[in-house]
Amino acid sequence: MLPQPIRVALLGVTLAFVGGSLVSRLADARLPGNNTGYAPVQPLAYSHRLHAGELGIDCLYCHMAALRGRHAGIPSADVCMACHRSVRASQEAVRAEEQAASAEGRAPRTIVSTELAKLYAALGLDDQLRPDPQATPSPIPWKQVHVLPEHAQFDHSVHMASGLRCQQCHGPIETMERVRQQERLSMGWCLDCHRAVNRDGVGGQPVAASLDCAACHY
Amino acid sequence: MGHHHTHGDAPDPGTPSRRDFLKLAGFSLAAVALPGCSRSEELAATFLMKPEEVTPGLAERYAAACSGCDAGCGLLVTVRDGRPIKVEGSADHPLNQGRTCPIGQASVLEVYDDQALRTPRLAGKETTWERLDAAVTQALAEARANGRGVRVLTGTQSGPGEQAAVRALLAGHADARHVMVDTPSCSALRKAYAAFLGAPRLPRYRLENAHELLAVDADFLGTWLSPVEMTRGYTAARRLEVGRAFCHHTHVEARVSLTGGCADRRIRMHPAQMLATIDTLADLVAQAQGGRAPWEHGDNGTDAAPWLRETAERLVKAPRGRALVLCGRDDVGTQQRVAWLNHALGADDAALAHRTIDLAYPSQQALGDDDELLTLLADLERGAVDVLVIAGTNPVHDHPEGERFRAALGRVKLTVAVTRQLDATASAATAVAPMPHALASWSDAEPVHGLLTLGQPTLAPWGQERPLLESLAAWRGAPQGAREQLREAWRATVFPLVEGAASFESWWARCVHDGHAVVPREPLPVAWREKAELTAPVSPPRGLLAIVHPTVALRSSRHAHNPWLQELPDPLTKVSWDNAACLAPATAARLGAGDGDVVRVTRGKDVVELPVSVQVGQAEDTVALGRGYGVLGTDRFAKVGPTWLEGEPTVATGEPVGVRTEALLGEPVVDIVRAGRRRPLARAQIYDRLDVPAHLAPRGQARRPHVQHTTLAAWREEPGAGAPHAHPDSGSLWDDDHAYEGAHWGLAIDLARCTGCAACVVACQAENNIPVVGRDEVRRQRDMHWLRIDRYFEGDGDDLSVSHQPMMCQQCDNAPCETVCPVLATVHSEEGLNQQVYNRCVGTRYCSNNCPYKVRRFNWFEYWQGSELAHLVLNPDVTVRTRGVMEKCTFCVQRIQARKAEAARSGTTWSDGDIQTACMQVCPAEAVVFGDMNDPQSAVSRAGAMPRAYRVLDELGVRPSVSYLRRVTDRESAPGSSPDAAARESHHD
Repeated sequence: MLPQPIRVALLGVTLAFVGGSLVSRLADARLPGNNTGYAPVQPLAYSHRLHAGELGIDCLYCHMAALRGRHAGIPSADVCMACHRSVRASQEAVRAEEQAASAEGRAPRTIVSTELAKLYAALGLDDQLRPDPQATPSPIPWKQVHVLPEHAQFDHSVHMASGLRCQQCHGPIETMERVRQQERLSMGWCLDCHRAVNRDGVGGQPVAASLDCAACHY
Repeated sequence: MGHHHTHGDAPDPGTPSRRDFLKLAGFSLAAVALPGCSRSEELAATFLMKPEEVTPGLAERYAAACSGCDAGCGLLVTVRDGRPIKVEGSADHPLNQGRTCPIGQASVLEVYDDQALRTPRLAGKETTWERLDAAVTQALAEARANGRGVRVLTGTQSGPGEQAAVRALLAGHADARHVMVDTPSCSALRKAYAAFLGAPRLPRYRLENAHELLAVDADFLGTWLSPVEMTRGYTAARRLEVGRAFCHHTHVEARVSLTGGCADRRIRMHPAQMLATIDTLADLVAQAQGGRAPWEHGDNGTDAAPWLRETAERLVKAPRGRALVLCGRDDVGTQQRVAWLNHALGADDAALAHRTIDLAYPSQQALGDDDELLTLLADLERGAVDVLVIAGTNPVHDHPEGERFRAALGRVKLTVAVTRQLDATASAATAVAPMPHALASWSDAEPVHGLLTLGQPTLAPWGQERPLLESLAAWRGAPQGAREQLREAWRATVFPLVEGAASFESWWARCVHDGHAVVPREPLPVAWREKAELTAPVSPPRGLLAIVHPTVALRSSRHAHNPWLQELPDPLTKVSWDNAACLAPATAARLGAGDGDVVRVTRGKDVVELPVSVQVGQAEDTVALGRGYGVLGTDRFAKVGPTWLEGEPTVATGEPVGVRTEALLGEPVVDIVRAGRRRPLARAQIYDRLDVPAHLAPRGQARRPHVQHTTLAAWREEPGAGAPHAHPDSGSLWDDDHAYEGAHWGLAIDLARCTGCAACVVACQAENNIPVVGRDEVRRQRDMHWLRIDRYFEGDGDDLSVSHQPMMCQQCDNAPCETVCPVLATVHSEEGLNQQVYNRCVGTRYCSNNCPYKVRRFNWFEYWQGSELAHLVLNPDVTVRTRGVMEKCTFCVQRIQARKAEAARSGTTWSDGDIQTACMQVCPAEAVVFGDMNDPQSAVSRAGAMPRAYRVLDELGVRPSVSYLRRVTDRESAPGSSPDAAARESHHD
């Protein structure tokens, strides 16, 4: 063990060196692997604020696999088509076109939002939303936002079954225009919650959240 | 800065601890060193249109047919995200009843064989299907016009759809034949019944009904006919229950087989004596019944060996129908005598429900006829055949006359090989039609009269492979999908037999769902001819004989491209990545050869050079050689195993794995000499016995008690018999700090049931992403199997018994590994599991050094997980470990977690038997039981409470969670039970 003054000096020197080099980026200093705030631009500007917030569609309408297994899953395009076979543009845009058409004394044209046009293109559909023989359907290359660290196994369904809300881990998703990672998704963060719910329960119900390594690591 | 204050006295938060300092310094430096280091983008491509039954990340299960051999077992295939990753036996299938053999387990890996053929070939070059089909159709048309010979050579094809496809191809040809051949062959047995029944018939054995069993040279638990079905029957007949009969098993053989090692009485015998033994036995049985065997032979049982007299007595005394003689000899005359013997014993008596042989509903698992194959060879050689279709069989390698076959193929105008690999036969063929793996195509079989197996594809072929049925249809000029062909054949020939089905569609859907169908076929007539004309038997001469036998791991050349099976240690010799020349100790001594000395085995121009493996209990003057090795294309394994300074390749470049021995089939007399070089064998186990050398053994402890063994009589008298001297419980240094309030997982393994078949080893490998390490690493004892089977020889010579002990992590309550890990990478769970946290492990290997069971496995290298395509077989629920990390069995914790998640989802709980480890699920002997030891009613608790239960190395006080149940055999005395031990036992009482 080094004498006390040397230790203090060493600490000071290191902190000064590190602090000096970090001073400009201190605002976003964080541990490696911590991707809090990550909000990539998606190939299709899907808005959770609109769908989950304004329209109040339940998360599980699209992410129904969260009840069944490990992955909540990014919905397949046919889930979108359940609504968007009829809804092709915002109400405002459709109204505006109707007004313009009646003003000009013509039949209103079909208005398709630019983002939904990308969905139809991915599915290889034509203007009438029929399969276009010329087009090649290709999956939408979504960017994954929430990625757990390597070597950790996570099961959505267990957490759903315990009564947790999606927002517990995903943040106020219904307010996000573009999805952003809200929480750290680190082991310490998981364990903090596991300890807290073992103490306080979830929604008044007692739960048994395992603290075993093998609960997640195998 | 996290939450590190977990102990009572929190340090003053104002003072940074040394750990805090290092953390801060380390992470800050990392932040300086990696400016702007941000995460990489990960794309998630989703379905555009999601199939209704598919949910990404969830497993689907489909019934399918096993392609391991022609036994026709049913599978349940686990498919994750479109790829089959694991097979289990189909629980409802009447043959295998939810279980598989090691080959069936490993077959899923072959789906991802990147060297399997993808494109059709014509005259040695890749071509298109159009060209190949045109060539074959034209050749067939010419043959038809000219009345020339057309032949189809396949393995056993018992399914109505497959038979119809071959028949349709051959229809209209004047000289056409469908020849079937089995590897290994059961031809003699099937033909023997022709003398008594008028037509060849393969008996279906019902071992579960047997009380007395004599097997002569038949390895029915390992390699003969239908090993899983037979193992299930055998272990059912030998269930240890009070008041229940225990089937006594006498085994006669020359080499040491898996089955022989399990027997109650094993007689080692040179093959030359076997016929005389059967003759004498027939005489003894006939005399006891007041008659005489209806054939002339030398002696009439007057000088029979005592064991034979006793066996005859036992067979006669057993309840009629419950005595059975099995014979694996490849000779019609010998088999006829055995058939007569079984008939005399009433084994095939149709009036008895508990009969051990069913002739009315016979087996169709081996329809091959070796004589027809020889006729085919003669036809080929005289140039009588213009078109030859060879499907799924490899006669150039598998047949002793392989070279003649190869030469004869040159006389055929067009040979087309329907195959997965460019094997020896396909390379000699004009055209090669690649077929997909069985898990990627439709297939059918009728392994037993009235029991049909239906295989459905679980994924699409990778390339242009085309199922055999579709190729046959294309060549007869009527292209049709395999599914449609099967549907038509089943609609025409099977559906009319079905009673009570609403419609064909609903019945068919049920068949596809179940993977099998039981239909009420008419029983075949059984009119036994007492005055049968018998064939003269052939007995091999006395002299040094070569015995070429199928091995448990490969069984034939068909699976030589499967690295899991190549690395699976042979259950007896424990050799992997090689076949060996097994010699009795006396024979080896006479030659002056020891383990690893290469010997040259010669018969005429056929020469086989193999390293010696000295085998106790083998008959003298025999050399046993495993078949299925030296297969063309297995030089692909040269790159298996790590490359480093002292590393040696698994095979030399251009050399296959092992040496082809098929040329010596038929038990010829051979010469054997030392070749003057050595090839050390890669053995996964290098100790053979439990005996302690006499000068070292403490009094009364001449035998280590790891495998305990007692006799049936002793067990019947006292269920706890055979327990060795108990060590006093010296208590524990550790506090009882684990309450195990929820579950406490445990395993029980019944050594009286385990046959050592090694299905569990491969099941564990498939479930847990266990890599293949290659020959050199196995030789260095670095094999990675989490579950190994320790094999111990007991007795020798004329009284050998082999014990098999599956050994995996024992999940000790006081685990010695946990206390020495400096980084807490192995810690105890609340449910008694000894957890291994790969991302914490830094590879000190202290844990392995401190493990008394030596079940921990260390990744010395980045081991071989196969080609990139083979990575698709990996179980996504289990981490793939990297170099420098320790790993081991954790009771398939991923399955425990999956079942718990299911319980959480449904708001229920699991019951006993819901969670099965991979080894438990596969075991054909039902020797493994997993469950919660806190539940006194669970199967594992009940097994652990049996008087036969003991724990290995219990005296160390590590408190393992695995119980073993003492082996019980019906012998006069158990090996190692010295008078000393007996005296001590009586003292205990």
